[in-house]
Amino acid sequence: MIGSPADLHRFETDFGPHVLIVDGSRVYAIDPALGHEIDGAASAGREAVRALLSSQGFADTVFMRETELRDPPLRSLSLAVAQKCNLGCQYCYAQGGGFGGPEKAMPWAVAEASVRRLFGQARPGERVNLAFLGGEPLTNRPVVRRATELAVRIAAERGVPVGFAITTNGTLLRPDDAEFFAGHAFAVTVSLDGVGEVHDRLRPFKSGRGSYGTVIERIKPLLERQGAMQVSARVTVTPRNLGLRDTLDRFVELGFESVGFSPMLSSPAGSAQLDEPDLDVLLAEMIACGREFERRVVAGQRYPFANMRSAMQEIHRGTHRPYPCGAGAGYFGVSADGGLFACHRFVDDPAGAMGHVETGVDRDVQRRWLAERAVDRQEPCRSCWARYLCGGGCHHEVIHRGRPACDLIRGWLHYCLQAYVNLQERCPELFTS
Amino acid sequence: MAMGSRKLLPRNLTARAAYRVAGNPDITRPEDSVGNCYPGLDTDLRNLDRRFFPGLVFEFVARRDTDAPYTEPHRYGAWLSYIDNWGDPDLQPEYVRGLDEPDRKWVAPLAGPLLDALKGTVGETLSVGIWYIDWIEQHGKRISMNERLPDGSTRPLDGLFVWRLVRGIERGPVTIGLGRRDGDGQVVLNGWRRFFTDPHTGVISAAYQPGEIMQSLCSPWQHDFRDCTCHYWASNRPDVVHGEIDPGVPRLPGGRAVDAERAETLLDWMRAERSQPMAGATTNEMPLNRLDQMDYFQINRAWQELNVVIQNTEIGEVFFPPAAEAAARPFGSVEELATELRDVLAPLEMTLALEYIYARFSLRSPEEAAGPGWPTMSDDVIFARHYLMLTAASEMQHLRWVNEILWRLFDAKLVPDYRPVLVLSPTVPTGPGTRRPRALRRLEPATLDDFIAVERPSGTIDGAYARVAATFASDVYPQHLKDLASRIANDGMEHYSRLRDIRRVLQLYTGATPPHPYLRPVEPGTPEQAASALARYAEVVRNLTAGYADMAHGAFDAGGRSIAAARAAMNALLDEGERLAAAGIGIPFWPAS
Repeated sequence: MIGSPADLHRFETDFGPHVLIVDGSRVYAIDPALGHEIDGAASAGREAVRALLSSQGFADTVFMRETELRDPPLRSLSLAVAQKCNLGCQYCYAQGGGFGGPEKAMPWAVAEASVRRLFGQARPGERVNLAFLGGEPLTNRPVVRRATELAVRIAAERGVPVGFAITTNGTLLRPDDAEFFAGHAFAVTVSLDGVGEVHDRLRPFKSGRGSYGTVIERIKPLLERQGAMQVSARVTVTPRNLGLRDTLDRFVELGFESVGFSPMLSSPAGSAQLDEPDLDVLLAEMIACGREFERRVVAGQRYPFANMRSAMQEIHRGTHRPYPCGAGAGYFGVSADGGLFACHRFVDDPAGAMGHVETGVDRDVQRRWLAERAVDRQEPCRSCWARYLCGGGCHHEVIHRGRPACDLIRGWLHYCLQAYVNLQERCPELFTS
Repeated sequence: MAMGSRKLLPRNLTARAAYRVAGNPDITRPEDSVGNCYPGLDTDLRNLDRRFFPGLVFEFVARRDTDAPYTEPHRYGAWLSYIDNWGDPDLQPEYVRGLDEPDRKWVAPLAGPLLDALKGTVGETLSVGIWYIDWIEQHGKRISMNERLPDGSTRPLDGLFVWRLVRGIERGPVTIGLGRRDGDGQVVLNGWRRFFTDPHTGVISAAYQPGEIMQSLCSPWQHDFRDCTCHYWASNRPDVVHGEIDPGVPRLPGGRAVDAERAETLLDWMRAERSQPMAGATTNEMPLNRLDQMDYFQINRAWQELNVVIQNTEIGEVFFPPAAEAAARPFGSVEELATELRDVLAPLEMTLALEYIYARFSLRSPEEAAGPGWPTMSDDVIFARHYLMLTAASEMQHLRWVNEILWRLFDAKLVPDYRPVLVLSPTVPTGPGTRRPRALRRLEPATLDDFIAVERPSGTIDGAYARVAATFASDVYPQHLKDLASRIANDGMEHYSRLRDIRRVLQLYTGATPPHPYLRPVEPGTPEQAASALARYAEVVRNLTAGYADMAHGAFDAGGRSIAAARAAMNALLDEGERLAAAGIGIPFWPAS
């Protein structure tokens, strides 16, 4: 892995040697002789590798032709309907909900303008997404409801389907929320950092009391109502809740449609961030969860470990992307005042300011953003084999902290490539094209 | 560039998408060619079926055409041309070993014994005599290659049908039964339908020799120019033409000879006899014409003797374009024009239409004309009735157009009023300056001559309309009036042609006894006898009068409805007329004078 050339990545599996061709994220099983040749070329440098790939016909098809987006259409908005929250999590990018400013709720006029801007130029059949974040969005429930209903009306009129999402701390959920979210097929994400005390230590009420019991109690109706609506648990991983396997198993038992881990790499005050030794532990824990995923899936059982599921799907598809996500491209976060920002984390952050819902996306700012942030322009990304699978890392984290977790990402992807081959051999039905 | 010779297995979707298979380029695959079965431009897929059974090569022997008579049943079917056991790679053990599972599993038990049989006594048996496929069996279903006739006897299926059944054989085991036609003998062979292409590479089976798949393609500019059964290539050339007219021989505008005999004679464009005096008129049956046509060798060598054809007339080495028509003289005033249209041309159109319709009723129906004696009379009356009806309908359309010209002149305020013109003319022109009384007559030759005379180009009618069109050239008039007038004038040439074609066809019956066997014994009936038909006729006139008046005043919906009603009444009139004529009664559209 060390010294792996930028255009391919060799990995061994139980089923023989393999290679990932970075362009197009193509995965091949190869014979050992070719493996040796590749290793030899790798030590001779990038040109030697390119020559070898060319001679083997890998360069006949080029997948990554455009490494930058230009003027992409707006397709997804998250509304910070409440820049306030009833919890006091230390690591929160919204700094207790207010994003470092006074607490506010998004007025209806801004929400309405946002919804209309979302449907703005969408043509019939094209899909758009509307998400509600914050702070805690359910502190402004009326706007959530009203915006959803408006979006449904416009969607029907225009023939533009809309998907809804909400990320909530879960403490303010009511039974009628289950009805509402189910009726509109929401993707509901509940922030849960672990079981019981593990969660309470990280996500207390502003009074200091733990919130785990409340959350679990209040999400029950939603978990039971899953169908078109899906409820996911999102675990923010800090140095204090690295016991991932236990958390994962418990949450799977509870009935979440999926459970995912998000490493905390950049918090406003620097607290609860993962540092290097933590990242090694994190990688080991993630791989342990991955191995459990493999075991269960081969045994025909359900194990909705979101990070693994995503990875398997993306590797199978050969996803290759010049950006880590759609932030600032087709996706924007809207502040309570109506400002457009690169994503929900950038709300009220000048580094990600991109316009206003009344006036739209500032194309000059956007073009600069997209040009600068493309992965082939980043260091050290441009010489990293994982760049088209990773995309360069979360913009907010990279801008505010940098890239401390590259080894973690590469380690995780290396493991995922091996697991992919294993699962393809052992249960190929998992991967219907 | 093909992927390297290393063993590579693409795992994920992008890897698979990028994977290039070593093998023939796309265009050598059958599915990428312009291949069909009739016979094709790139590959003749029927040639695949000649070797549908490994080790054997068949020829499908068929009649010339599917409606040709069954003259040689003992020859029709799938004839075993030869046994190709050594040369057929699909029979060899290496091929069978190289198949993928599960194919290998079921092919292997068949291939070995089949090869042994063909190399052994079965092969010897089949090498002597004339063998054909008697039946084919697959999935437990057996289909016989013989058909059962109504009288209970059997005869071999036409080879084309056998081929079609062979084409329907599915991939899988097949058993065939062969029978000897020049003696006794039955052989049953278990095999399989050949895999025409390699499942991995798409390459056509090596059993097919170079050129074999293409050995029976269309040859557009040689044989198929003469003989394409679907007429695809042959549609690029004329079947029949008028013969070349020497310079100096008088011609009509449009190029045809004035001399009716010469003008009407049609020659086979591909006749073998190229000298003029000896060229006989073409028959109207392709098989009869073939006897006198250039054959395949001759056409390849003597194609340059085929004549260039202009306006359906052969030309020699020098072509003289027909003289430009003298420009017609416009009318002096719009009143003069309107008078001519109202008083002369419209009534003439109406009168001619009725004369043609009456004559058409006098022709026997195809059923009445069928029977021994005149083998082509049924077809001939179909032809004459059809073309006469077309001409009559065209006159009725002219009647409408003349009325339309008049009401548009009124609409443009160039004339003070418009009243529908649906009146008859007492006389009809027979040539420049001469006229005859109108008459309801059967389509005897003299009548037909009169019809032809009135439609003769540069005679009266088109000359009159040419003057009308010339008048409308001025910007004073709405543009499309000129178009309408020109159309009427040009139609005249077509009427003339059609009527002359009818005359040519009916010439066959000159001198027959009794005369005019193609005619019914129709005489004009009394108004009482033809009461219902005359009522229909009155309905037509009434509705057209109302319709034209409405159109003139902008009431298009009402006008349209009236004209539609007139059309319906017209159809009813035609049915009535047929019924009456079959009983010998002609409709007295006007009283006999």
